[in-house]
Amino acid sequence: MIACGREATSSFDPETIIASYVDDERQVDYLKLSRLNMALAETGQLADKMFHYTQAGSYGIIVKWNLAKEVGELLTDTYWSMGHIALAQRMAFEATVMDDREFNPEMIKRLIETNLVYGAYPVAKKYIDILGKARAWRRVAESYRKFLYNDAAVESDPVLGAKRKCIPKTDFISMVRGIDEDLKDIIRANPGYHKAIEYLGAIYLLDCEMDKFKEMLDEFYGTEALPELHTSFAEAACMLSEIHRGYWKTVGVPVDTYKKYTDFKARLDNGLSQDKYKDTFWYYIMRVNSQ
Amino acid sequence: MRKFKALAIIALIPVACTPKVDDPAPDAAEAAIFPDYKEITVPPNIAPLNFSLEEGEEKGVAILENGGKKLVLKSRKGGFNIPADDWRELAAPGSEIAVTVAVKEGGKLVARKPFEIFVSEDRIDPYVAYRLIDPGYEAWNDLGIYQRCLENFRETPIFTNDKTDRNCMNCHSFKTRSPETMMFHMRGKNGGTYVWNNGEIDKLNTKTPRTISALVYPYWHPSGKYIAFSVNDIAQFFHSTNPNRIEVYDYKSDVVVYDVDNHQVSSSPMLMDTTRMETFPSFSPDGKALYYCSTKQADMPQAYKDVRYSICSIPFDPESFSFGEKVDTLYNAAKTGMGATFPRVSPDGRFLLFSETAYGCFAIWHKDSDLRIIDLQDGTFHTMDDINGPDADSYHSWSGNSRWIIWASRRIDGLYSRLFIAHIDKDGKASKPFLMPQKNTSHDKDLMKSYNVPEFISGPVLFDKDEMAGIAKNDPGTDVTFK
Repeated sequence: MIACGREATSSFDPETIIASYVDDERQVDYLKLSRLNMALAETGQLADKMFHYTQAGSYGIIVKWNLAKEVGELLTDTYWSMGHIALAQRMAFEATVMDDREFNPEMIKRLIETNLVYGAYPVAKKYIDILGKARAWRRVAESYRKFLYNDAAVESDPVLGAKRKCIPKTDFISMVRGIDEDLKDIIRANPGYHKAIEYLGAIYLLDCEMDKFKEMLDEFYGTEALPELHTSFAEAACMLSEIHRGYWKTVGVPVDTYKKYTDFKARLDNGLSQDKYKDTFWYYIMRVNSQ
Repeated sequence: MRKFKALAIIALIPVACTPKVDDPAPDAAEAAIFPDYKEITVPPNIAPLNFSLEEGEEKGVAILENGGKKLVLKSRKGGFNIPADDWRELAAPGSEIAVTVAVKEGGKLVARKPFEIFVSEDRIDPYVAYRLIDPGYEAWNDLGIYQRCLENFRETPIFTNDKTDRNCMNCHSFKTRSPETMMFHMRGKNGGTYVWNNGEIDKLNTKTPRTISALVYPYWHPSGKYIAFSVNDIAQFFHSTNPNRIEVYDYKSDVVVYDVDNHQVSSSPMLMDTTRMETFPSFSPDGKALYYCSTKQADMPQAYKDVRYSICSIPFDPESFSFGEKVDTLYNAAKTGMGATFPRVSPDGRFLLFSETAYGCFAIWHKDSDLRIIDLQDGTFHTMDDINGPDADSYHSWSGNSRWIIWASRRIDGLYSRLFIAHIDKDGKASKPFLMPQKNTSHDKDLMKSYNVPEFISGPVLFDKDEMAGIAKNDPGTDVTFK
């Protein structure tokens, strides 16, 4: 579970996950990679450092849902981290259903959170009451009771308040348009929630969706959502300049970054080793294209 | 056992040494109890109406009186459990039970405003069948169809999916509330429609080249010879902000009728109109009319908010297995601006009960869904404001004597459906509804399953579960053909 203020029982410690992650270029464990990327996002490093590790497409962020409890548990954390409350709630529910214990305290806790965020207080209360019947979780459950029927308390809470702001202003059909369109609506609703745009840009880059990435920059660069480019976003902007001449200058890419890019291209043209660029988006896309 | 006897004796002792409860003050507060059993009408054969004090009021006394019978109960952990024998004496048909609840405040018992429970002379069918499901999104795990004796608290499984590799089961249906003639579907692994009739189980493969899907929403013909079904291409999506959470919708749908003896389905061009979507069929009690819902074919899911179903009927001739050619519209969505689902005619033929919602076909996920009734004698609508709650009120069924309805409502917590019962008098007027009583009053608050598709039955279903499981796993099934 994600550390978000009150999780004294949480096993999710981003620093530990990042420090203990073992990168293996030969075989990607999507569950571990997703946790790593989530840890990077939670610490504000996803768009800067994701290519320091071997990446494998957007399934390394949003693992494929296969009706398994463990995957549901991971996905609820991923969507919660993104600020996608509807899908965080859905996956917490799915994981609860698939749990043979018929009692999954972590997922009930998440359902308390999502329902508090939505202001669905009667069912949030039900979950608080149920979680509170487990002695080990009583204190955690009771810590949420003060939010019941108290919008001001929810909105002033650093975690729940931020998530509530992420709820899009107008309803949309989750995932039918694609997760990227969902994320855009979250960013528009809460531009200060920077994790959402880091996830959005990361998903585009991992799936090599350069046109969509440019559309994202065109809409959000220079706004509260994306005042300046993260490392990988700047690297991608350099590549976009191949088609859109001088584009890198329009989105504030540092000159040093662009020089690195021209050096990368020169080494590529001359068949020289690219190992010094292994932690860049350029290397990732070269590797993807060669597979 | 000795301990339980002792507790029962203690519970009855207060009759002899009644705790002192002063008369309620003129401005006494209403009793805060769960479930809300104040001023309700109940059948004489209903199980005891156990209730509890709302949180924070753990100590109290309840005094129940009817005629010469008086029962005084002390709360235990805030709950009042009424012994079945005492309840039977109290719940005399056509009478009123006076109830006073007193709550301990400042060391003394303070009476709340008394209330009455009206005991109707109209009995209720002794059983109700329902599915217990997670009110969820895509996954399922433990799932089953259960039956509950309404005269006590006994719940037993009709069939559960632990016997069939945890597959999905749905759409249980009975011929005129008979426990000896029922059907339900299994989906996915062991998929098929299972018909329990005359002591035998038939497994059916119901997808035909001429139908959109396998058979879906059922309704038995009163003769038992036919079952009307919809065939639907169903999908669902998840809302981002809408409190309704989930939208279930059809891309397209038709209505067909299945001939039980000949394993054939048939339909009418008016029930398979490619310009319309038809669904939720049900027969009239005399079996001569088929009711269903219908709407214009729409571009789904984009148009999901614009889809509103009308209620129509078409003549049906059970002798020749044929349909009439004139469609009547009983509820016109174009005129009401709302949509209707699940038309159900009372067994006496007088009233048509349905769910009404602003749009769509899956009212259980619509917080605005309410029950409505049409008087088929004069075509007038009754709003039934007395029984609808602030959340979804949907799937409903009639008792055999047409005096009771049971339905699924999400009014308690906004998500988990619970069963409510209401009396309907001969003029279609509903009494205040009550939550199906439970032995443990916290049951409905604690249970993380929804009650789904409640159907009255006149007795328990007794088919052999192992035989059913064996047929599900080993019988290839009979292919249904289109006539």
